[in-house]
Amino acid sequence: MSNPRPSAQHPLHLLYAEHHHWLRGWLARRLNSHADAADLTHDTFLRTLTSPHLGQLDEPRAFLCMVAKRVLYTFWRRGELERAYLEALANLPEPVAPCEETLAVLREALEAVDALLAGLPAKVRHAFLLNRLEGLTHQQIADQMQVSLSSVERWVRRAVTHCYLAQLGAGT
Amino acid sequence: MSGRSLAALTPAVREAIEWSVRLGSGAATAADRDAFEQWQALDASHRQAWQAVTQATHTPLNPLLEVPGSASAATRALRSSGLSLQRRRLLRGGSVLLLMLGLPALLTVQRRMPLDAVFSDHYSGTGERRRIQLADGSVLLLNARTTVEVAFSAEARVIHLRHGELNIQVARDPHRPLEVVTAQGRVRALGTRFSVATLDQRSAVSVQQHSVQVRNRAGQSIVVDSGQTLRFADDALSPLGNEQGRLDAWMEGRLEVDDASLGSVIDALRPYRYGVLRVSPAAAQLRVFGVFPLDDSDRALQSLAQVLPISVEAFGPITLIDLR
Repeated sequence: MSNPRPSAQHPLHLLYAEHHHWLRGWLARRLNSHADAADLTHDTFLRTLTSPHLGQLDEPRAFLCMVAKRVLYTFWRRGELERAYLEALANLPEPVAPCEETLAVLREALEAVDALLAGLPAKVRHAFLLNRLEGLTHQQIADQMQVSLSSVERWVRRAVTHCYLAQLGAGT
Repeated sequence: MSGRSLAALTPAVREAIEWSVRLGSGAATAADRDAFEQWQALDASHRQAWQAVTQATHTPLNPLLEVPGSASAATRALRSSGLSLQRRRLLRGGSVLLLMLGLPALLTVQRRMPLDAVFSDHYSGTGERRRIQLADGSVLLLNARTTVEVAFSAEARVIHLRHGELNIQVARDPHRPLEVVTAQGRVRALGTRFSVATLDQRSAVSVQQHSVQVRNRAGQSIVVDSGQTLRFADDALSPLGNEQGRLDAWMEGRLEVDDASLGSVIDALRPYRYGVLRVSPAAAQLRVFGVFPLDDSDRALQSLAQVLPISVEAFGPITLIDLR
């Protein structure tokens, strides 16, 4: 039993051969780092693997651009998330500096929660985090965000429902 | 929310969500809690729904709650979604940003599947062993997450092991020697059956029948006989004596260790597992003896937790192993 070799005619092989230099340049101009550009070029092609349209692209570079933008978004989002988190840790009344091992776990947990809450409006996100991460009561959240108690309740309900459905989607 | 996902909100789930909101509001009374107990006792579907809702909200947040101060820092970092304005400008163009919001953060995991797998002749995925019959009649067995390229010509038979571990039963062909090439050197078949593995900066070879000749990049050369194991780097050859049974147990889906570090045992389990396995530096040093099933890594981890002073906890795709 063997995997058929993606031959020279395989659409991904062609796409890679013809465009990967160009894509790396495109990414490098936005990243200011050749190592990152090489990594993200790799990630971009990996993502195109699952595309059903691979064999019939009219505008291969426009397609690659679209995928690369998503990859770039994830990469930047991850970096900004981590920086904001570390800054917040350092600015605590009692600054916390987790060891590298713990930090690795926290980083992944942050990304997982970020992905989980993706698509929710900022207020819903914030109310949910204050409630479930910081342990504030609905009343405290209403005071802090200067909104009504019923808004907080509605937002938390929406976020919990969102998490439930997201987990359902992830499980299938 | 699509119609399909709304259909998942059964009455029991809707009620469970209401309970989750109510009990987490900080204003729940003793009467509320009694009513909740009764609701739970009423029907198994209630308990099931409650468990699912609780898990969906708790599991992802749990790791952030364990480090003091982390919860409020995480709230700050996570409260806004999206990117800084400057970077958003760099991505400007069309509706792409909207599409991006729902992306799963699985890229880290995917990067482990090397892109060269796509262009390789043969590869095996996570948790998968493959048996491949080559054109010359040789039989190649790939351990999980392994990639190889086969280059057979009229003069030679060369198999490039890019990543992972293989075993090969070589078909006899006196005119075309067979070689397995790794980043550190070449293994030439003088006999019929042997295994090659790539490790970090090193390779290992063990011979089941007859012998092989190993030449590393520095040009050092040695013959490894049946029953022997050799580890080699760019500029070093280190015979390991008879560890063959243990190194080759993967072919039967077993991992056999005799006084190995927990860290190396976890390394051997990784190709059989989706998601991330993390072992703390202190736990990684524990010594392990025993036989573990590769195809059921959950069970392997359970067995480890029974004999070692470790805790194994799963947070979604992340499994954490630490000293108890």
